Amino acid sequence: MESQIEKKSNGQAVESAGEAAYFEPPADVQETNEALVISFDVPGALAEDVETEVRDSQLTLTAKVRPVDGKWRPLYGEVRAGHFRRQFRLGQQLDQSRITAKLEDGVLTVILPKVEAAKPRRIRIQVN
Amino acid sequence: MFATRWPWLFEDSLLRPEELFRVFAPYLGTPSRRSGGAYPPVNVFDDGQRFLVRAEVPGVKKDSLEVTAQGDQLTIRGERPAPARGEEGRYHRRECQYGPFRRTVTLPEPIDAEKIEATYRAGVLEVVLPRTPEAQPRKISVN
Repeated sequence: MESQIEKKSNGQAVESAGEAAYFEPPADVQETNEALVISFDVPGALAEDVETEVRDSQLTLTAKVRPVDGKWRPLYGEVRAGHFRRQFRLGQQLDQSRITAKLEDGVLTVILPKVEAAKPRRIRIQVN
Repeated sequence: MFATRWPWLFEDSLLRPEELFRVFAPYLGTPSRRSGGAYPPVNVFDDGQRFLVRAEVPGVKKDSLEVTAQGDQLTIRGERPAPARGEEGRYHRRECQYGPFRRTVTLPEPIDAEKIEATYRAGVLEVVLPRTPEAQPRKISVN
């Protein structure tokens, strides 16, 4: 059905309806002197199926998970089929042009460096 | 109890207040991906001859996984090490689970422990367990 297909900016056609559900992956957010480090649990997602995007100070993570081969009949399930999506609003203290991400063993780690002005500094005290 | 937990929500300078919504989202009916409290969560499938047990263990190294089977039971052991944190690091949010785990799954029929195959990829452990020859479904021809 044509109404269910929309063109993304890169020209790739994607299904916009009838798609599997999206769930929010659990995340750890750790702050160091240099950066904010966010790690997401996205088990089953491969590098080519993960997208991290920053737009209007919003970080969006999308990770698609490929379904199990159709020959397997589900007997019992504790995890619902679907993809991952989660968004975080970013403050002005992060350098949005230097964000990096890596995927390892189903964990996506995004490193958001702080701008210089937001890094802690030691102030030297002058003694007269 | 809440009184002691509130302050950390507001000292968060790098994430904006809208983020607070997330704290309440579980109470607002957001569908949960996982059900059941045991770790790791598993899904079990069947193709007629074999069972497939799929366990989600993100952050676990392949070498730390141990898979054993006996009778109709499969046991998965492993450990997800807590991340090395810099001395200056502090957490704004901790939702991921860490530490050692052990889970035993009982299958509906006995399995052939000699022919089990396990693969690990992208944080997912998949174990394929054939039924024992006695438990294989058989077609009986009608004369």
